[in-house]
Amino acid sequence: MVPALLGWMTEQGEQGVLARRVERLANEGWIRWVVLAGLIALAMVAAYVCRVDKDVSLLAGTGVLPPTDIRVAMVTHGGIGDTFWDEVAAGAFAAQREFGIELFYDGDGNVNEQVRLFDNAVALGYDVLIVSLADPDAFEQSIRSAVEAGLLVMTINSGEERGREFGAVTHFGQPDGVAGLGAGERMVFAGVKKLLCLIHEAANVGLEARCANAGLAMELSGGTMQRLSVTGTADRVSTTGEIGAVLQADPSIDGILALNSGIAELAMSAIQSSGSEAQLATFDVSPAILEAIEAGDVLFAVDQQAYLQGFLPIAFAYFRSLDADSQTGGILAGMERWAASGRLVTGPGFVDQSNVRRFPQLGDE
Amino acid sequence: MFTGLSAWRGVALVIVLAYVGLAIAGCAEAARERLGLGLAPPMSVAMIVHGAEDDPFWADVRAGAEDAARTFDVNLFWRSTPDADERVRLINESVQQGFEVLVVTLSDPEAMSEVVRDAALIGVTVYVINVGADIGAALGADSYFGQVETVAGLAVGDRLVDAGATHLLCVQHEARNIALETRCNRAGSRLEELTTLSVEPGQGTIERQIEAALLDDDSIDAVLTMNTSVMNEAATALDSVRVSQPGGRTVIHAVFELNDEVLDAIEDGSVVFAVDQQPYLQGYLPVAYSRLVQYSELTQGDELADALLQWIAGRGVLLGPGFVDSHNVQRVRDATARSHAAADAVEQATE
Repeated sequence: MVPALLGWMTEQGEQGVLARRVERLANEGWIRWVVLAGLIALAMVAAYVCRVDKDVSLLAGTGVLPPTDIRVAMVTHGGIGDTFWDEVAAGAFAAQREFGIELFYDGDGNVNEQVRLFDNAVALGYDVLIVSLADPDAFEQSIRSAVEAGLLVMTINSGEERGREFGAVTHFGQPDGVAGLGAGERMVFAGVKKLLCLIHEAANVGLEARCANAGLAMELSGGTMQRLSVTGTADRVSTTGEIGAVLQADPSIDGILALNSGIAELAMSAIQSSGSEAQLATFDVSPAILEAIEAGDVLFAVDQQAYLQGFLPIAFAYFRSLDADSQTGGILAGMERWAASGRLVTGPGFVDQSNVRRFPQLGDE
Repeated sequence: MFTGLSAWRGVALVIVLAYVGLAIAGCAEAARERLGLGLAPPMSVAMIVHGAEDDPFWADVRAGAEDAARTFDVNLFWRSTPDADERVRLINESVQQGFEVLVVTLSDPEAMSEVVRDAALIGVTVYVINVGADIGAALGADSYFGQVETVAGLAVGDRLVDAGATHLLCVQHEARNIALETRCNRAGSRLEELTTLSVEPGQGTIERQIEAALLDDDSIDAVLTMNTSVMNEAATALDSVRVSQPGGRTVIHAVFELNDEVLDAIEDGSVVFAVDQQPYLQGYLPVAYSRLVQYSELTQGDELADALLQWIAGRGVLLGPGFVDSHNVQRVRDATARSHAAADAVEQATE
């Protein structure tokens, strides 16, 4: 029944993206059963109970979900064509169909342009603004006035702390500390005793938190962690050389943690050329990393669920817009309290050899 | 420890459950007809927990459990009593009466271990909530919904350090409660120094004991309390220490508890932050989840469904720690008020 359902979902074209993501999610992290069970139960309800018209999404337009008139604008710092942000957009548009809301999506790597997009969305009367804050300070004025005007502002991916300061209601993303701890624990599990953590941006506190907590996991099991500042992907030759030199100097290093997929690719060649036996893991996925995981050259990649960073904030905004009734009042308030005092976290998920085959190739939709 | 337990991601679960809940609520009649909740076996869940009958924390847990029971059409038996023998008796009774799911707290592992292990052994689904993640896993429980005290303690310690604290006075109000001990030790491990104070009735008022500890060592710059009345005693002690040691001795005060009184204390600045562990969801999620598992069991023999059930074993949902401070105190207050209003509305509707 379940594959039939997933198959049925997949037949629905665009909706199939959701099905595939659900399946992918099903292979990552412990949350997998939760979301999968929830969505399967949901799909069962939709398909068997309420007989959904095949032309529409799972529930939207079936009268199952109450209609809403909220208008959502999502403005990110990723340009169109960037695979990570395309995935975020795919999640956002799936939520748009699912909940029948009006969505404006755009992204721009230039922060001034991003702020302009945000301000335009406010001027156009969007009620919900979802924004990624790679450069929070530039947004302070715009977010503060949007919040003052009573609009719902949420942050995704980056800028949690500053965003909350400006009045954003909540944040969806991967906390670097939690992800670092999780990555460190996996390294320990793989038998790593001496971990090298590669920092590719000197002043980035997020990267430092990843290394620090990976180190904590190492220490808790009697291992050690050392940092190595590398030049970065701008100078691939130097970076590869820097990593190789350390590996040659200290053959006892048996694990390397790269903090993005580009650095991981360089670390891979450094391992090869230095004859090191170190096991490599990385943050973020790319097609090359997926291949390397399959080939056994990379142990695992930490996945922060770009798709959910697009989907969940809109789902949250939708539920928040509903009028509570006797059936839903309690759980909607419970959700609100969680959002208020807890955090809404999309990562870390982990991709390794056991689930990489079921990982949808990036950019294949 | 339940493997893979990871922070806060359960909100996705909440969203999905709300989603499913709405879906079921939205076409309840059709649901009965098609899925035939009459055809699917009716489901009975016994929730037997250690809270005092009038404890507001457990009233929130109960409200969550009852809401989920209505939404998901589950027959719920609820009992909350600090009397461990009584709980053991009720668990035995529930098993004999054929309840499919037991939801329990393991605040007294010695008393509860045997009966919980036996229930799990004969195939009753056991979910642990609130306390007992580790021991529950060892006893064969299926999952855990709640805060894990080691994680919460560390996070509290980090917050205290961020606030500038170096020496923590941790006030333990129940001598043999392992959870409280864990909180103290883990929080203290993040600071330079930890002093643990066990307060007991009969040694003078708690306020005096805290005050004496503070005066005894003037390097103490943070106090952690873990229930409302101790919080109040500590607040008074801190006031008098401030008066008796002019020149601005600052001692920050954090609390492992959340209710209206604690929210007031955060608002007036006497408490710097409190830990929230989502009691409503501790009640709601295991009940709702029981039904979801049953739906997946309808797909018996199916590869994906089997995999699902396998995943369920040994996994848990971490509901805390959340933090409430001056930044979000109003929002938490509003959400709590909404939650209580919803519970009142339900009560009125059923009367």
